Amino acid sequence: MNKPNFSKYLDYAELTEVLEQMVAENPSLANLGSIGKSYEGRDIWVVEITNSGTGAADEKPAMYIDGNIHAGEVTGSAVCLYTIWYLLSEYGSDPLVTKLLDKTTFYIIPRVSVDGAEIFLHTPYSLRSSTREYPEVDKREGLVPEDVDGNGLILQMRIKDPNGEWKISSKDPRLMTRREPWDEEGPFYCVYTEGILENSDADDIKSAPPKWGLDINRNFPANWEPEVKQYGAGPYPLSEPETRAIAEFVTSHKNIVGAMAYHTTMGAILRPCCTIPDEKMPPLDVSMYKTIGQKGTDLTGYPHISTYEDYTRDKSRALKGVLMDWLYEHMGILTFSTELWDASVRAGNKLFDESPTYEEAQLNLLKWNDRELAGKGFVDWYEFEHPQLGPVELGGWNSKFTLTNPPPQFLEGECHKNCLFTLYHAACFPELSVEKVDVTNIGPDLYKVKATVVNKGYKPTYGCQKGIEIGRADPVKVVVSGESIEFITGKQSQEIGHLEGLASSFGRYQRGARPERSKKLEWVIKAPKSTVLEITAKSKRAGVCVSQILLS
Amino acid sequence: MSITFDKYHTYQEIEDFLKSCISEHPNLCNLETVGKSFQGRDIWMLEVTNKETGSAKDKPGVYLDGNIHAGEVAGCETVLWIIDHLLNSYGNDNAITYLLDTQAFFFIPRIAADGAEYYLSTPHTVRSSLREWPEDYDEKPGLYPEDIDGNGKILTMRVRDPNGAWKISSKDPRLMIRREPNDLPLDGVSYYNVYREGLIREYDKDLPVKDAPPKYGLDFNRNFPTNWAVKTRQPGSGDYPFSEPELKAIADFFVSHPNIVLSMSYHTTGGYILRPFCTQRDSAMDPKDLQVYCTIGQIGEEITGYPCKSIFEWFTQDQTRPSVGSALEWFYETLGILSFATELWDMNGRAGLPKRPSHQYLSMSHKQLEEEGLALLRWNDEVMGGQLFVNWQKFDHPQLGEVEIGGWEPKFGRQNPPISLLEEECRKNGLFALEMAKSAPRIGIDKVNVECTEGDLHKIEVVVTNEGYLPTHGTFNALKMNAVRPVKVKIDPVVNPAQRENGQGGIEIVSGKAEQDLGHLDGYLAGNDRKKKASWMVRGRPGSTVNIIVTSGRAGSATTTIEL
Repeated sequence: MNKPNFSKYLDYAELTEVLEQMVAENPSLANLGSIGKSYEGRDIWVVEITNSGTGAADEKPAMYIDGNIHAGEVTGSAVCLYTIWYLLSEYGSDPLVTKLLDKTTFYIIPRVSVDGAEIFLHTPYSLRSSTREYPEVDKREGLVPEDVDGNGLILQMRIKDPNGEWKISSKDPRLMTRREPWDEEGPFYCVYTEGILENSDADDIKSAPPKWGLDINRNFPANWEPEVKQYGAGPYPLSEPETRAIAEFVTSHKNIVGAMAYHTTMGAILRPCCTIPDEKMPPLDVSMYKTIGQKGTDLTGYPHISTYEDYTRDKSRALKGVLMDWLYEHMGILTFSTELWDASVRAGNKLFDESPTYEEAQLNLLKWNDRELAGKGFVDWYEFEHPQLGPVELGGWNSKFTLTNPPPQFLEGECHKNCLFTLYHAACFPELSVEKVDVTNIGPDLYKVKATVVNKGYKPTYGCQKGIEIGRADPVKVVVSGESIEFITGKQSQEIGHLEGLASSFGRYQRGARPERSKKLEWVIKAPKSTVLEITAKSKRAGVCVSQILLS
Repeated sequence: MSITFDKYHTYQEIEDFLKSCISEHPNLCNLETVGKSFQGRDIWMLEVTNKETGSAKDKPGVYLDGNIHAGEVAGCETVLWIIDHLLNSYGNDNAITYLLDTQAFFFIPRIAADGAEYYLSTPHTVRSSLREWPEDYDEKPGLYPEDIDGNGKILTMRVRDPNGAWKISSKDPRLMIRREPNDLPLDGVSYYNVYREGLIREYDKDLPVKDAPPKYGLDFNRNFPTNWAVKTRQPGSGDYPFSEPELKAIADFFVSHPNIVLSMSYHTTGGYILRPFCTQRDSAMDPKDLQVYCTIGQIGEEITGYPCKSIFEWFTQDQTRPSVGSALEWFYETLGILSFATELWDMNGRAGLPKRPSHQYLSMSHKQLEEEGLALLRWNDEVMGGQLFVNWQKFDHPQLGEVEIGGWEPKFGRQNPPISLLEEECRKNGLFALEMAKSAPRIGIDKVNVECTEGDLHKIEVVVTNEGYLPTHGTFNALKMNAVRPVKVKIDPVVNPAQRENGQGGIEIVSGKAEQDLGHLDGYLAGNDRKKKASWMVRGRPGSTVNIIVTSGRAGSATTTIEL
């Protein structure tokens, strides 16, 4: 299999071609499907990866992965693509990958906002997610982003104005810094996104409401609030074809027990909840988030943080309707949402550190830009005669592939380390095993059969505590089958509840009680000698294990 | 085609009736399907307005639906009755003519199209949908309803059991009452178990009979997004809000009809006109909205005899876990529509029993419950000729042995009015719906002043008024939710100086924006901003015509043409 080019951002056609190729070359490991169509009618691809030789995809605990739900965050697509390639190419050689594909399933959706990403990649425009025009307005009034000088970029415009909020930095003439309250000495500037005025005049420059104001990552049902309380939320949860397609996929794949979602930009591993502090979350889940999250930090260098506690400055404006919260709070799936690409940290800034000023932080970025990108990430200010506003200066960050997404030379490294985090998360899944199977002949054609069902995994068979709370964790079922067998005691089919995982073993327990990770079962069966008995332990979230034994 | 209310209509009969409406009243009706049910039936929506005075989308909208719960077929009949009444009265009745000229009605008679058909054509009942849910439904052990004696009804079985939890009332052998805490299993007293008529999967004669969970567990009226909760908190809510095709159809309908300002949903049973909130006390509501609800609700009580009550305060069994995800919450709390839900059919009231909040039933004594049961039986005997109660008959149950089957006529006795009382139920509630509709905001152009100041320079002033009771935003919650577009007034056609010089008709605006935003106008309910004025300075040749167009989110529109 040829390695795809991981120093390029692929558009829809290229992405489709690469996916088709990789899947075609690995028929026993991969399947390509569509979860549905986007607003503009493009298929939203999902790749299902598992070793079909060891079992069907839907009978193994599964990892859900998506990227690029925000149109401009194309790094996410690359990480997904890299993960697909890595799994397929390392199967058979890397022991972890081999074990994972034998025992678990991966559902990978490389690009959710397929329409928006095309705009982002092929035009100067930026947009949040969908290309469906929203909110509806009769007429857009105000400044709309536009590439006024036709250089293929939408930068910024600065215009001298005695009431302006900005000033040129004394430390770097490229940098606009905030005007201080006591500064009377100009010159001051207004700074706008490069654009043109529609249906309004230059006397009063205001931004027009955005054409593409939907944020489909605020369109999920968990804590959903309408537009008045959550910008971009859409008319009702799952109103958009892309989000509804995700919801349909996740609700119908009940074996999903872990999830990874990719965004940019920050360099942090976010986790639920967006609206609830840790102390109000189930303690087992918080413990698992921290343990698995720490592995992510070890592999990527990105801190793992609670979105509510560490990412949300204004708690009264906590994020609502987010996919990550929906996957966790409504679907009971342990989910991480990684903000890829730590440009600011690479530049020497620290996350969550309020002490440097805006100016200092920006200067660090400019220095990084000069050093790593030969200054190309920032377009120096130049004069331009604006058709409506007169003489302006255009300039600013060419941010798409510098700040928002890594420059291509950094892409593969970003992909590799995040792919590894996914693998280690998948290695935590519950895993059912039927062990210590024992048969004793207690009479003519009468056998006492014992077996112990064990959960060998880190996660419990219910995935996480939330899975129990919301009623989506089906209990483990044990079925005994064989030709002409009769049950004297014990049931042919029974539900044995749930089994804890390693994750439950490290809390504090009263009176030394150990969490139950295994359960012993017994049957007395009447059957002819040499009947082969099959003992199956299964659940949607913990997979299937079959053990065979001969009655003798 | 005339429709009579001496039957409960099937899907086909409803479709035929609605199609006859558009063929007989093409000037008043449009018929659309908002979408398809799970089994592929159309969810019909009839739009009624006088098309000559404007399209439905440009008028204040009143939405009425029924039968979101499959068994609540009287709700569907009430909606059909209103349609029939409006169409027959247009042109004869001044009020109805006025309503159809100035407002638009949107009717969805039957939301649970599949479930209702099942309800009407089999002995079975279902809450809403015929989609199996939760989906991984294995046939679980326990009792499932079945018409075992073949009489076409699924009633109740009583089975003798010395450990039973029920006993027969000493005052009426038809009435089963709860066994009391001090009832010992002494000779001479029989106790019973009481079950739904049915069969039992994996019956074990040594163990008590339990109900199997239902195969069709969805409740459409818990599938709305506002306050929506997962199934462990709110049974029947579905996997996610608007997961069901019937409800996604309604969601999209409301998004495309932002002009709906009032709504009424019909349910059974209880004899209440219900209003928000579902999860909070009245003290949490904007007092101005509360006042409107009570005022209009009072009219409803006068016409129907049904009191207007808050769902949370009066219709919630457990106030620590109120039902969530209903249509009413989405309509009022999120969309800001003034919404009511009527529980039709009040057998208790007819039997002379007082109304009390749902949560109070839990603390009623056995004696009180017995008295209520007896009162219902007495009413049935004296007023309904005993028809609504099927007397206990012995039956040999294949699993339980000797049982007796009997009980209230479940569908057209308990859950819906018997046919003889249907029309009366539809009429009084239909009449209230029309009174409710009259409260809508309605904007109009009060006056237009044109003054020629000099040469071809003119001043135009337009006074816009709200002639209705409600403010143009409907509810105050709608203002808070920013759910309603403001009133705007526009002048037209606007040309630039060059075009005007070229002799092109139209006016050139010298001062003022072509389209002006007037915000919202009060109604005669309260407040002084019932009229607002917009003005422009324009240039135009005397004799030029200017169109004045007033639009609003939920208060309709108005246009006029003036000459300079």
